[in-house]
Amino acid sequence: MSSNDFDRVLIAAGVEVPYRRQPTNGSTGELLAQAFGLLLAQSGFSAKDIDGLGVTSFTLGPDHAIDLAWRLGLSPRWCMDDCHGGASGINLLQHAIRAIQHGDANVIALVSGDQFQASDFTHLVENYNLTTRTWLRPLQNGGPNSVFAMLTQRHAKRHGLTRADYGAMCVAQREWAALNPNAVYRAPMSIDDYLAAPLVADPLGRFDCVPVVNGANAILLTRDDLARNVTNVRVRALKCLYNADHQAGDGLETSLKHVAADLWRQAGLGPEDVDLASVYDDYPVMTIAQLCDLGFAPDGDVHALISRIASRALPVNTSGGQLSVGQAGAAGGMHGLVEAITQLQGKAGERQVDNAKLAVVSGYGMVEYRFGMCANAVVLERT
Amino acid sequence: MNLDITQCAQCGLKLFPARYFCPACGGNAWTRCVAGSGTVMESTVVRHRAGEQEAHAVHLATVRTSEGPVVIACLDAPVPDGTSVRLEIDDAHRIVARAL
Repeated sequence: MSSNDFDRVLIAAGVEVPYRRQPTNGSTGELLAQAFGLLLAQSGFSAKDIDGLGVTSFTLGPDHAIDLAWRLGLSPRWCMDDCHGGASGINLLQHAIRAIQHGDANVIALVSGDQFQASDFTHLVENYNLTTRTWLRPLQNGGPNSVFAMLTQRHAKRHGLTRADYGAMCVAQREWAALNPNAVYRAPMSIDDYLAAPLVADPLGRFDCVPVVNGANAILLTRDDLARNVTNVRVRALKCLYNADHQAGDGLETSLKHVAADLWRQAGLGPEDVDLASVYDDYPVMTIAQLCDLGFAPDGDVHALISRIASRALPVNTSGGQLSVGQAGAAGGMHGLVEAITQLQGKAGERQVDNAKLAVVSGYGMVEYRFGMCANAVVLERT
Repeated sequence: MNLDITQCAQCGLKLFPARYFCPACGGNAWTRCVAGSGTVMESTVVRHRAGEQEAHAVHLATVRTSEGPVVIACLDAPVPDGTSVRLEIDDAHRIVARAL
């Protein structure tokens, strides 16, 4: 197909209900409704204009997308649930674009979010899927930290990295977070603070693990002739690939390795052309892995890549990322997308990347056993 | 209890955990073999778990089984990478690795 695959559809808005450490008094549904309200305010559409809804959440149950549609007063012509965790935002985007191009819907709201009571989170990580419930829960492994600890050891050995190298990623994101009034963790953090933090699962310390928070994100897509904002965002390329290695590899490469060449060809540009990147950062090792898979370390020099991120020569996770803003469950799969949209629309305030025109966003997630099954990426352009 | 590895009857691929269809050849007939031992590739100690204040440390390892597939097992004591281990499933349905 041609490079015009994504014609006739615009992303008109991306919003975030500020993340909070403590659950709100309301339900997950109310949090998603708040995101929906922000989306209408920012895009200029009324609820009556919305004829498509996509939802991703771990804690919305027993409700689903259609229940939320009913509570929002919507009569959607296109409605879907998504459960791809950190890959859900781009997964939903992939489907929503096609729905609009083919006339199944004209204006689609994609919402994501979670709030966790203490027991909700434990229940989620112990019952993430049947493999986890059967083979990991009995080990009292405490969720994915342990498997990513061992993955980080493999990665460190392969690339000759130390804890301080991964720490440099966390420190760089915390510096971005200091410029984001909605980041939950904004206090300055030095590399010494990072190294002195208690270990969670060796070699991962507290600042390598995303803090669980409560919050929501949403994105609005529209047929291009219906857009009401002046500055919008269009998709130049989008690729998903799941189960590239069926959990048989070492987890150091994501599916992005297999789709990167097609992604950049479809976009008609390369990694050197983008102004910023939002990469799913459940752990610093995975941020590095996704960037390498996308071609940001063409000579294989991971140290040089980390230096470029630390110096902001390559702006990565400019909101502070989940490592500093927090991980609001399934909203984590949309957070980076919303940050890139915000940057491309020039609405990022103090952390605005100068003249940001092009961004790449990647999603990663759904740990079946030893690492994530899903990875996807999208190249976005300011209109 | 033995740690069973599933093998595709059509192409011979060995898998853990078991699947419904073979990712290599699409077959869905299976045989089983026992992975009685393996080699520790990496290990970690889980010192903190969400929702627990005074969690006891749990030693875990990534183990390449003698049959090929890689499993996550608990260790009864910390061991260096490269250690040969015996593998079994205990009464709590944990894959347990003990240094040989």
